Amino acid sequence: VFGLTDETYGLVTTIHAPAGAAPANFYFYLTALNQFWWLLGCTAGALFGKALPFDTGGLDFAMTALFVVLLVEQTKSVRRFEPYAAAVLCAVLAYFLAGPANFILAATLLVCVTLLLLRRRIEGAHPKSAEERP
Amino acid sequence: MNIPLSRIIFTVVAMAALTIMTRAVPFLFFARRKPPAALDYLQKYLPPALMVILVLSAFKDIPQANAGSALPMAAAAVVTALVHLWKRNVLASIACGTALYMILIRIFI
Repeated sequence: VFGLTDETYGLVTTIHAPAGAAPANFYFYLTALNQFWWLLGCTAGALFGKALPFDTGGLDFAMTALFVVLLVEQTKSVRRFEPYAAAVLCAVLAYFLAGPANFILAATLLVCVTLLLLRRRIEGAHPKSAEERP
Repeated sequence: MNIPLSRIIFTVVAMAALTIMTRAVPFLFFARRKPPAALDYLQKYLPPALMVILVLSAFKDIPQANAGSALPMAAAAVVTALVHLWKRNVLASIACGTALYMILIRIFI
């Protein structure tokens, strides 16, 4: 349970345990491996990060790029415009209400509330039988 | 910077404890009962909204007086999305977008 990382979550919700393997074991090893790579990456980064020979300015965009990729994947599985529109509105609102420092927290809270308010609209047009999870 | 070692250790321990707590609480709370339907709903529709927020959060630290510096970022984000729609390869998309961004900010800023 404490080995839970974002990637583990992403994987467990997308793939299924292969036939012939006990699911509990499968998930355990998946989590353990993920944890291992994560640890290895962080340690290597801390040890060698200072020694990189070239200028890494802008490399932090990799994070944004990852979010862009995940967003593209989301648009393929959740084909409703409301969550995206609500998020944009809440993000703009949060930026002007809370400022850059508290942006993510404020935007997340706002969008949670907005989505709960939109629940009837989104689920009403989209009955439960039409689950889009693969 | 000169931070005493005891303070570093204390900070790490405190952060570790809180991180474990944020992960343990949902499991403790829902070990015996079924999560309410509202949570199911959020679980499905929150991720796309959160991704929008996380992408937009990259732009939040750009000062308004210097709005032009958002252009390389926006261009790189669009290219990342296009590459991903085209190849559907996570690493390739991230590598292309990041490389483009690093090139752009060196040329224009």
